[in-house]
Amino acid sequence: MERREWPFRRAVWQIWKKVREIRKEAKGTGNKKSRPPKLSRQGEESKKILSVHRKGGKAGKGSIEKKNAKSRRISAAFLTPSVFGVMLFFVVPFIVVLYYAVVNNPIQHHFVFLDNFINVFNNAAFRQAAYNTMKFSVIAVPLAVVLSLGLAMLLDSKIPFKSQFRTFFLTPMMVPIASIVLIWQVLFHYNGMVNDITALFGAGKTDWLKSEHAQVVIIVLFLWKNLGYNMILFMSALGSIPKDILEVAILESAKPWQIFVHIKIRYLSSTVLFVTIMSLINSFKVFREIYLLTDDYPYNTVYMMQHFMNNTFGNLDYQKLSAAAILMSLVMIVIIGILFLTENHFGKDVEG
Amino acid sequence: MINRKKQKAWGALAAALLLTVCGCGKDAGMETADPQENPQEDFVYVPEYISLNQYCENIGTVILGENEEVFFTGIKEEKEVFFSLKIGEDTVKEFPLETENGVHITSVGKDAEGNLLFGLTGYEGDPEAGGTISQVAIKKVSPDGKELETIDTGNAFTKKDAFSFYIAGLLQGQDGNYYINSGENIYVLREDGSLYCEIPVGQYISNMFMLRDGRVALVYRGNTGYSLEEVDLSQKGTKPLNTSIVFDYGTYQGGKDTDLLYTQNSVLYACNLSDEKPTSLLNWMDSDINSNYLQDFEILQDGRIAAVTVDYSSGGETELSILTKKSRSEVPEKEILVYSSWYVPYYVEKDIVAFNKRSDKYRIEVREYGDENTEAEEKITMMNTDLTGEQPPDIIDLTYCPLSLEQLIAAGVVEDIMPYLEADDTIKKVDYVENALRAYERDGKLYAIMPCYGIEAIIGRVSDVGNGKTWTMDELMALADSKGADTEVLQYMTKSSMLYMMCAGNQGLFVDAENGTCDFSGEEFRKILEFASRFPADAEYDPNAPSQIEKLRSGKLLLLMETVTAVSQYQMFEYEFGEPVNIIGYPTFGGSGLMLVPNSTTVAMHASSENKEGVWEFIRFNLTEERQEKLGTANGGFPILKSALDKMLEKETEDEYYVDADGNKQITSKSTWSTNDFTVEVYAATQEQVDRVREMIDTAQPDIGMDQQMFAIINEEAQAYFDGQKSVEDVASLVQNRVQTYLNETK
Repeated sequence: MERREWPFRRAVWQIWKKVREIRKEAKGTGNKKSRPPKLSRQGEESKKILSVHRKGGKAGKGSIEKKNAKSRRISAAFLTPSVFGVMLFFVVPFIVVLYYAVVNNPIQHHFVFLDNFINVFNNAAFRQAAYNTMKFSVIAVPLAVVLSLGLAMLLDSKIPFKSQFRTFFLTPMMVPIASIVLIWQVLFHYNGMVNDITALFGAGKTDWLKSEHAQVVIIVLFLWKNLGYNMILFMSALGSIPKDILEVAILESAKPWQIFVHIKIRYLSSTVLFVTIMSLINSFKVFREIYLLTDDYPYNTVYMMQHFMNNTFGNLDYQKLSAAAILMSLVMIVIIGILFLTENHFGKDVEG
Repeated sequence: MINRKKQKAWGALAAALLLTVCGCGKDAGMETADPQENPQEDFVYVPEYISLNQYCENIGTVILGENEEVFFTGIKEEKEVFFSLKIGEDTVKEFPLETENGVHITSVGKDAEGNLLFGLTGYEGDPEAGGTISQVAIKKVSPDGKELETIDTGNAFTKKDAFSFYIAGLLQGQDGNYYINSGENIYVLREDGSLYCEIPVGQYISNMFMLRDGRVALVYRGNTGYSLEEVDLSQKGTKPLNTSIVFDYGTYQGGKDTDLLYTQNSVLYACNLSDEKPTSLLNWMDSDINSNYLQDFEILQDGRIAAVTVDYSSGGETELSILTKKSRSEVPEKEILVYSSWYVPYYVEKDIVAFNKRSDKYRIEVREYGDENTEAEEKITMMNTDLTGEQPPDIIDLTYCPLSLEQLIAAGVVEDIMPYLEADDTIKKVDYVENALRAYERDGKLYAIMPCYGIEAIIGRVSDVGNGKTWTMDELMALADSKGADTEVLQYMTKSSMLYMMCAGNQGLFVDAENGTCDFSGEEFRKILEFASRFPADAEYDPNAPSQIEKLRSGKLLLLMETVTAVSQYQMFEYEFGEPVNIIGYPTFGGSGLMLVPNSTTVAMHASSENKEGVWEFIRFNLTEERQEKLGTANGGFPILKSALDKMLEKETEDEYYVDADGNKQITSKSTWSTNDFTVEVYAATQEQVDRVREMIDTAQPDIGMDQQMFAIINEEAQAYFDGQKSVEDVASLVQNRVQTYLNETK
């Protein structure tokens, strides 16, 4: 009985999920008789387990409830440190930030409602930072996902030196940030290697990090640093696609792109979501590299949200910092929400 | 049963995790005021003061003896007398000191047995103007005043330049040799007074003392910080002491229970050389003792500490302080005002000690951030967190604060003190110099008052800069162009420092602070960059180069950049240039500006202070007539109180006299201004000079200072132009781009 407890809960969950889908479908089709849900193999098994559990458990209903209560207590004990940590390090600081966002300053604490948000919206530096961050994410994140997926697909196919290529793409992950910055400085400095090379073709010098090209340099750096990790995630996900489905598709004369679009992408949807979110987060964290390369106040095209926040913190302007942080978190929530909806849409009929 | 055990184990683990999480909030860097954390804070050394000036005038040398006695020399009934005072007694013993005519006691030290050693120096001619040494002798006197012997050093020091040779320290080692510290050299004399060796150190020796084991040690600032070395007679030199402790500027002496005792940043430490770190014994400020005035101290047998201080700013007031260790609960409680400071300069320590001594109700305690090993960025974070935290300081030092007043105002950290000034019954706003009072006024609110200030200016010969009161950047450039390429405009000026000076003076031209815009595309910025590029990238001191005065007199150096703190400086400048000078403001494109710079304890009141009355009492304390009349002498600078300024300026015009051998009154110098290269005797100032200084004070503007972040951007970008990498236009464009981002952020 003990062993069956978790499979039982899983089976209940599967059934509940299916019931919810049926209700949803019924709701969508009005009075039409809805098609019975197609249970997966795993669902069928769960049904059997549930049935067994019910038969055996009739006599000891009180005992099961007691065990459930005990189980909840143990779960609660395990969860408490994490919940406490999350409260202490995430929820409470967020509430503090929320509070600072609606007071005039950290000393007088006069309630000003949305004034700080209005000030932040009217601040040209904030708008610049928001625009640059958004532009960077919009360009860099899709590139990071698409290129890493492409590389993973490439390495998943039958090409020579797969292992060497894999190692090559993972190398940037092992390089410390200080070295990365040094390398980039050597390359893109006004007197750096890139300018030396372009000079061979008669081109004039470009101040890569202090010109309109600065964001391109940072995007290249971002991709160089992140592609390897994303690629590994995709390779792992590709390896977990059921081989029988792929073989059936090949037997059914499906073309490679059809296999990619109709099978692989669907199975990869949760990984795509994960990689996208991670890349999005990393795109915000690119501030570290920019800061080390260009300091507090870089050329305006690489002035990011975190520059704004970092500098306002240094100036004791906590209210502006807090308002900006709240706005940024709202945008993040919306973006991640959209990503989840997209994943649900593409991966809804894939069990995994 | 097993499950229950498991449950308990998991419960314990969860509790441990919780406790771990709860214990993460400790701020490691900040100094804590929790007495439980530091057992030393459970007690305090309570001082008892005895003024030694009650026994004689002009106290010369003072030293604490081995047997709980203090020895000092002074003038009584026009004779130099040697006094001894037993600690705990009121009456002094007097012993006449017999010295030949023209021979002076210049130093006092001790031998290993506790006898006193008087360093006697005889001069030929005026010691301050070209005189030479005629005699150096050491007189050994027992603690009961009995002269034991006089050791004549023969010709070891005769004919030395009297101005450059002096006895800064004296002791007799356990080996019987006498050690004389003459500033940059150690002289070792045998017991009979003959010279054994001369050890040149090449740097100023701040202390010479005997370690507990009898080795003679000296402290000086070397190339890599402060160096503690021992005298090595076998090599006739010095060698480093083997210790892992890092020493810094301070006062040092041998210990009885430990190898040495030293005071650094007003904390008294004891340590053995083999220790990894020293033990702090006390903070002199907690006992209202200014460590800068400390002459000597001894730990007495009963654990009390005897300390002798001399306050030269108040005419050499000499105090013996007996510190008795008492439990904090035994000491009458005062309300604590926390003084937040990035760095504690000597005048802040002086003012705090004076206030703490005077006030029955309040006591100021200094809160610093981190220590000498703390990174500046970390210190700033600590300070910011403190200023905006739950237990903020009451007083914020503005002189060294890394945050600008504008930043503090924007964060709501500082309180408007205008209502306090206007409501005060003892001091009146109209009694203070108006433009100095306005230095920290913003939008009708007053955030600080600088009690004493100097005026930053450029000094040039009249034949170069004219007689005018202002001049422009173009005139400065024309002057530089009219001279040869080997003529320096300002000494040790680099590209960056010149750029700073010119950007600071013309900040308003490039930046519209009100609208948050900037414009570096104009002709003026181009001219500044071009002019700054004429200067060297680095300025290194060249010991073989002509001195400053030689360069000025030969015309190889055109201008001086100085802070004027006394009218008598006119005479020094004229002596240096060798002809009439004009003190003129910093050149700008629109005219020129003299700048008022604080030279005293300048503080703001924290808006969340729970003791605002106490903070105001401290601010007012330094504005009172009594303090204001002393500040100019103590700090160097002009007092903000009009009546004190009037007195100071009036005094500058008064001649001082001495009565010569024939009984005639003769004019004598009022003071001397000295540098390494020259000494100028200063006489009464002319009314014209006084009027000009008064005019300067009335017209000088507060030094708002160049925005450091903005200058960092300008300087960084300008280097590419200085290195010939980029054009002026490219640099101006980059500066425009980055500074605009900075300005946008601050709006």
